[in-house]
Amino acid sequence: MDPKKYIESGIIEDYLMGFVSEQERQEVQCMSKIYPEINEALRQAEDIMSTWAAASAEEPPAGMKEKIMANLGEQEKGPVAMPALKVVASSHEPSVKSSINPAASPSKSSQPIGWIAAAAALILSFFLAYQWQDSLQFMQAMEQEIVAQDQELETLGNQLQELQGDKEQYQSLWAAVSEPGTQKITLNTVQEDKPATATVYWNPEKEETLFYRDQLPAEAENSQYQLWAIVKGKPVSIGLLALNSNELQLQNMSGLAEADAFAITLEPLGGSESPTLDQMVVMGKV
Amino acid sequence: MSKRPPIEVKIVDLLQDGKQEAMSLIYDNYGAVLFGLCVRMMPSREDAEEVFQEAMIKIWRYAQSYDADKARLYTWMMNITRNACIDQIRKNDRRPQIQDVETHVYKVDAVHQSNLPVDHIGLEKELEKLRPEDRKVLELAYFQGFTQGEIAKKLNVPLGTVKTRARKAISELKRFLARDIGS
Repeated sequence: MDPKKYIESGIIEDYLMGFVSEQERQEVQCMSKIYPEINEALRQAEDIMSTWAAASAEEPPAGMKEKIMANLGEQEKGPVAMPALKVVASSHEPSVKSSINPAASPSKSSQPIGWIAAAAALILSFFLAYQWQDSLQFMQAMEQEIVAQDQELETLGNQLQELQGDKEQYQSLWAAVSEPGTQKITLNTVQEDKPATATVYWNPEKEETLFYRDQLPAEAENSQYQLWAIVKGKPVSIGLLALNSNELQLQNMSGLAEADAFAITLEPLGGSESPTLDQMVVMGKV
Repeated sequence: MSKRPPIEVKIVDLLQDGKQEAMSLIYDNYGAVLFGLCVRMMPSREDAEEVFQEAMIKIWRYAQSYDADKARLYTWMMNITRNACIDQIRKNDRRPQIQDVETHVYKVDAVHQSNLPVDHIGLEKELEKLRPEDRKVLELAYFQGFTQGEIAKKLNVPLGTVKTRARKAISELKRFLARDIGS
């Protein structure tokens, strides 16, 4: 801001005349604190007005001085601080107010105004304390709310990441299943009284095997399903099924370029080197 | 900033020490100007006397808050007195008759104090050079506390004209007085 232009705008004259809004009044006071030139212009204009006012000087009536001096005596120890006397008088808001700093006021019981001011200050301080407390509580509540929102955002972010991962996995599974060389082999239950099915997608060219659990009884405690390929009459382990998972799972089996059949057995947790044949659940031929 | 007469420096020291002698000096040196301001602003002489006493008490009571860096003592006292008058006028909702500038009598002869910022005989002559319509706006706003809107209505002129006239009058005063009050 250019202080010179500000002064030339006439705002200082308007301010002295009281022709300004409350906002403009505060602005002039603020600007005069920031810019020495504006402060000087304001003081000069004030002095000019006071000087002009002096032209109508008139002697007060006789006896007035004695009367005033006698009244001062009642004020006893004299001056009290007026916390914030406005530098410039505005016709909108007189600069002299009765807001007296109680700490600085003479503590005489003969001055009811002192007590009133003290009481007012006390009430004001209670009010401010209450307001402060209120604001503090509001701030604390807001802080908690922000923390909660942050946590929720983090949870949602994690979920989104998981879903992204799932999506990529399904895309890749779907691509594998729909490959031209992929065969679908359905594994059916070998125990007539226990219904169970599973599906194997096998691509001998790419040596990839996918399996889908379909419907298998829940694993007994400390046991896990193991998938086998029967290659030239011999069982070859091609992996363990994730516990209780119905997800389509992809396993890349090296060297599984040929197979006659696939079977699933229930084995001790972690699997076995060779299948426990009486625990075979499902089987399907290629 | 304007030069501070030695008497002002002495009064400020006494005031801030809480010595009543300060008020005696204020009365002797500035009493006529402050009282003249009350007479000019208040509707009756009786009111003027009452407000003048009130203003003097306020000057005494609020002396510790006076900041010499912010305003001259003289200006500060004028502001306190002017505000006391405006407060009283508003409280009673009574305003003095607006004096015609042409018939207003400046009681310069009563001013014999040497510590006032200007030579008042010279000032009177300078003030006569102000355009009456500009001076009237200043009178109404500064001495009688009328708002811009009230003045516009009273003088039957647009709001903007009120501002323009006030600015012009102050600017003229500044020109007339600059050499007297020093800077």
